[in-house]
Amino acid sequence: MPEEPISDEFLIELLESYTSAEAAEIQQYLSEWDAATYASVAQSILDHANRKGIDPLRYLRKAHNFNKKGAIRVPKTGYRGDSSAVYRKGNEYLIVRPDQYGTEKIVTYGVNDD
Amino acid sequence: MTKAILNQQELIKKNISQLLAQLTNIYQNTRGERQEIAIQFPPEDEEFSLLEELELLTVNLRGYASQIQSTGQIVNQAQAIEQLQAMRVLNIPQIASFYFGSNNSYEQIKSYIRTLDYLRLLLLEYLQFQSD
Repeated sequence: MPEEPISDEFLIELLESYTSAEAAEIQQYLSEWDAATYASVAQSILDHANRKGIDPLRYLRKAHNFNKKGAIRVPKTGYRGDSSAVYRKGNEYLIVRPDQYGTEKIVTYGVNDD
Repeated sequence: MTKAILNQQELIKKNISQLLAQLTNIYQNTRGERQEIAIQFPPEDEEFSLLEELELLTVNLRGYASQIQSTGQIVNQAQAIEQLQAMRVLNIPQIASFYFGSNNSYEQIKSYIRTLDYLRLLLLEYLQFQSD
């Protein structure tokens, strides 16, 4: 089956400087994220990486490698009134929210001393 | 929509784009202060920390601003207006307590907080022009 053309201009921009293997890796990580208030997940990642001064793939890898096991979760169960929750471990944190199907997705990943 | 209103809306859009760039610069310059804040304002077990609240606020506001910058509009405008009205920066207890409680210090982060709130107000102004 022919591949569908990519309609998200931000995804095109996000993938353009990577090899096809890296692009596939990025697309795999993007499915772990929520677009939140951005037009798309790709736009969110481009903006995060630009603000934090980090390569987008490197940023996605760091968020992907955050291990929720053993992390402190706030609130312990469920979500706050704004549908968010945070996992923190060491100096790293992952802010998440549930998508429309109730699956937890990443909104942002941060390091306190980055 | 009249030409005058369109021009005003274009000006706000330009201002939003400039603020996004300015916020990126301020954010990058606050690294030292953020490192200190991570130590001085550690997270409590049942609450988001000051830095986590700031990060979430940053992402929510930058997301809306990025949509306007790229398409001139926001999906689910009515919901966005409601959320932006509820997102008053100094209504977040950790931010208010830090902002008013640490006199003469962390001036760059305080400037960042003020600029974020200005961005929130500009986004509301832009959306209100659209719904007129």
